[in-house]
Amino acid sequence: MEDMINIETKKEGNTCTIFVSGVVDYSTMDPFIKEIRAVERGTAEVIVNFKGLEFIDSTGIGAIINLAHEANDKQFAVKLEGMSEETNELFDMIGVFQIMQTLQSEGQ
Amino acid sequence: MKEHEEKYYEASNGELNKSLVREIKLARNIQMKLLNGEQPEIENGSVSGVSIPARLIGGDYYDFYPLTNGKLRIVIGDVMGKGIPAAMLMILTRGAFRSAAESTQGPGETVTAMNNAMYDDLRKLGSFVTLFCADWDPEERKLTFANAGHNSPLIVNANKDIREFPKVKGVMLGGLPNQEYPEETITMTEGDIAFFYTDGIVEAQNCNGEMYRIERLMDVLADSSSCEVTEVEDIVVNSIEAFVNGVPQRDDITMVLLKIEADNTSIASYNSPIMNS
Repeated sequence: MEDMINIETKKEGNTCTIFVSGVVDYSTMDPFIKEIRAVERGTAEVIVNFKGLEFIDSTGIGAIINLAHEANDKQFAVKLEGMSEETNELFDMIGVFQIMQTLQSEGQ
Repeated sequence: MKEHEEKYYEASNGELNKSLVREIKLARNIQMKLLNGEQPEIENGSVSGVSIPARLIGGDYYDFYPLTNGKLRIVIGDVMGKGIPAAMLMILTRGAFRSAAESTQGPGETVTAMNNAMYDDLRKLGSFVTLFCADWDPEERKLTFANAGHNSPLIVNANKDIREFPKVKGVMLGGLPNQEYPEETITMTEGDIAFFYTDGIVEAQNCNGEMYRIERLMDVLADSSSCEVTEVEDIVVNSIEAFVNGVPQRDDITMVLLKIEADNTSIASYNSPIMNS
């Protein structure tokens, strides 16, 4: 059984929403990284929607953290939404929210 | 491409593959020796650790560092990713821990020093390490700990009651610079087992895509609370193997156990723990 990831991107004005569903792990995450890298200059906000997320491993979390740092460098905002309670707890424990809040307050 | 050129490239690839396999095996040998080298003997208790990489080599890490004040510093960590890249950063983590453990007072300071030492490299590489560090004081029977984004260990007592350690938050190594890591302390009593682990245990999957999960781990630990630490290790590993039933391991699996035994405190308790090779 092969794990699958599905990525869809929607652009509205200066906001880019990336819908991530399925399994985001070491073996599947290349399309996710590609989508993050493809965020165009001039984008004001990137929203990553995890509503259809089944599983995320440390490599996937690393991509989110790298996105947060890139957003700080390139001056755009990042928002995570649609997480399950379990994913929310995982992000909180590892420090994803703390990193995003600290970088955003530094960037203001 | 001409026929003789094709043969040349095939031969070259064959040699390269053989060479790579040999080097990975040597790297595995180095990692296994560094990881599973020394288990310390402690007063009034026992400790043990085991790490099983998902591939030939992995990014999980645990270590023991005997302090001159008689305490034992314990660390368990998980480098982002798998395989060779994670293994390289695991070695970096080990160096940072050993260096920090020597020069810092408590687990919070150790984790801060490690983050300070590793932050720039980890950020440059887009990587991170989750880490849990604890000081065991055999005299006071207190365990003081700090956390850099790692899952909370479990504690099980002789009555089979099991719970997570009190939450203590801190961002993972490589997440933010100049971090301070708060400490918490628990008192342990005879028969208590502290179980430190990495997520490869609870996220082990069977052929239906179901995970092993923390609830199953807690049941297994409660049922084996009267066993020796090395027996508990075997029981947990066997339980995971039975659960996954042949499905290849996806993530590194690591656990460290500390069990408190009857009080045999003597003047020897003022000495450092003994390391056995």
